[in-house]
Amino acid sequence: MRHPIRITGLSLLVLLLVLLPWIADKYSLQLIIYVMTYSMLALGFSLCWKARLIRVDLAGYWAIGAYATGMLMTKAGWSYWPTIAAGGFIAAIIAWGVGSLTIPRGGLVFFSFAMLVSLVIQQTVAASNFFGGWAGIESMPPPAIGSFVFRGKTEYYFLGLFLLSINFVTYYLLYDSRIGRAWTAIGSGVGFAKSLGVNVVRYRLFAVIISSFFCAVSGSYLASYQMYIIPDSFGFYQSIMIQMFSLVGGLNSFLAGPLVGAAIMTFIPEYLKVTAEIEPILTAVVIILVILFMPLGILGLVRRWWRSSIVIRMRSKLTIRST
Amino acid sequence: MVLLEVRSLSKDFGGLRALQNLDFDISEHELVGLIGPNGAGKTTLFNVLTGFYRPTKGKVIYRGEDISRLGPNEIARKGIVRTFQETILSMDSTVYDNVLMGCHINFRAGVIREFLHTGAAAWEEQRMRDHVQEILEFMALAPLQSELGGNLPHGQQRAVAIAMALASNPRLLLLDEPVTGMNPIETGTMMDHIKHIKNRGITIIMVEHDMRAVMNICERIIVLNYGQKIAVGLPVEIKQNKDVIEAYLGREEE
Repeated sequence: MRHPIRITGLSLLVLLLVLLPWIADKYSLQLIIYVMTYSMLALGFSLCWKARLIRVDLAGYWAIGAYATGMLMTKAGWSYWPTIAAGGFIAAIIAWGVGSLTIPRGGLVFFSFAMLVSLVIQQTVAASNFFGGWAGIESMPPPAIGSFVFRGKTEYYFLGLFLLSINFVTYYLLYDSRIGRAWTAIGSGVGFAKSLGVNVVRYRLFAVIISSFFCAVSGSYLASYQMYIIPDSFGFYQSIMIQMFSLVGGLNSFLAGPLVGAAIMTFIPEYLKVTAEIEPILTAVVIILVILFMPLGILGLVRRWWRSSIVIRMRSKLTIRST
Repeated sequence: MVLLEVRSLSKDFGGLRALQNLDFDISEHELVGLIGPNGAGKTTLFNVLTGFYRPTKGKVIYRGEDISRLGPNEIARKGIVRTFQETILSMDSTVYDNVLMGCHINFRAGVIREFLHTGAAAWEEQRMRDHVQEILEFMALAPLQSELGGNLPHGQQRAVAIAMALASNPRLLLLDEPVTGMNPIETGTMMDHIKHIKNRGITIIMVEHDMRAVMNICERIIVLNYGQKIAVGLPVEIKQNKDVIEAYLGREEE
């Protein structure tokens, strides 16, 4: 059912998104670029959460994408675009390996081993000179399409919008299909899903692989924008930070939640002038507060408000008093 | 035709013998009641039959095939589906989406093809949706199809759970306490549904504590106590069986 209101709203949104680089100031645009990067990560976290798998290893796949782009461009002279696919592919393979070994043994085994793997990834690139050590990779060339070289934030904005859209639409199609329903069933209970014939291991594995893939894509994007990468950006803290985005947005919203959470937790610290030292503390405090007081996140609050406002509006229309 | 054969089935949990040497057959198209006091092992038996537990000894044979060692999702694919004592639904999904989840088994295309929404996948999707519509109407849930699972009253949630089990086209349906927590009217409605389900040709094993319901619609009753089969027979026979009465029959379940 195509509501005219929906179509108008959607068109306005698209228009806004297209015109954004000319409306927003340069600094906000940079924040938006980071929001898009974080959104892709948070979408991946929420995807695995849908199948009741908690991941604290997404920063590792972020690193894989970033380093694939960094290494292939600086050391092998690749153009930017194939490095996105390469990074994603490597991430998918590693995720497949980790997942196949551990998912059949349970969520906790997966959680622990995956976390270990992501730390190993970070330490490996930091320890070896081949990957640039702790100084990382710098002076990466910007992406180019033919003779058009990326120079300003606007180009990166549209690239990010493009990648995020592909990510978003992919997940949207998945959630709306039999695969998504299998994940929902798993989310309601592993035994329950099995009793309906769902091969829980296979669907969880698929969730892990595809979310790792898009996290790597996000990493390639980050690397291309910053034009340098350092191992410090891909540590355990960053994996936790990704959880925060999904939590704040709302854990039972798998598409809008991560975006909302990423936006809020990127813009608010900026307005509060949070320094780099305070940032981890802020993350921890936010996570604790959200779990305690707002477990369904911002979108959970919005939904509750929306539902109760419907009741209030209906009550004022009804003349019959309900019991 | 015999659908299910249980042979010398035992299940231990450490030192606790939950099921002892169970032996019985279930014929196709039967509606069998499984009763017994709390702790008799009824749900444990269901868990073993559907692959959630492995038997310690003995076998479960379904249509001539030994399924004792299979996992729950493989057993579901063979056509044995169960419901749970606790009502399990997706609370945030609509009734329609919940029942659609039950169709999962029926779909054969692989993950990649589904993802790409190929022609075959789209056609199967449409067939599934028709199937869901039919089941919703069968269980009189059609007017509720857009309601969120979490918003429904208990009785209707149970009906949705059964609809989900039906959606997977079972041959053998195991119902674990379908009318627990329902008032007499809801119970009557559910019993009618179960009768209709049997008329579709589905074999049913039903665990229940509500004696009136069980005696009314079950063709045959198996009685468990302390993991052992203490009686099998027609409802009239069971009502008069000394051992059964001694075990627990005799207090009317409201």
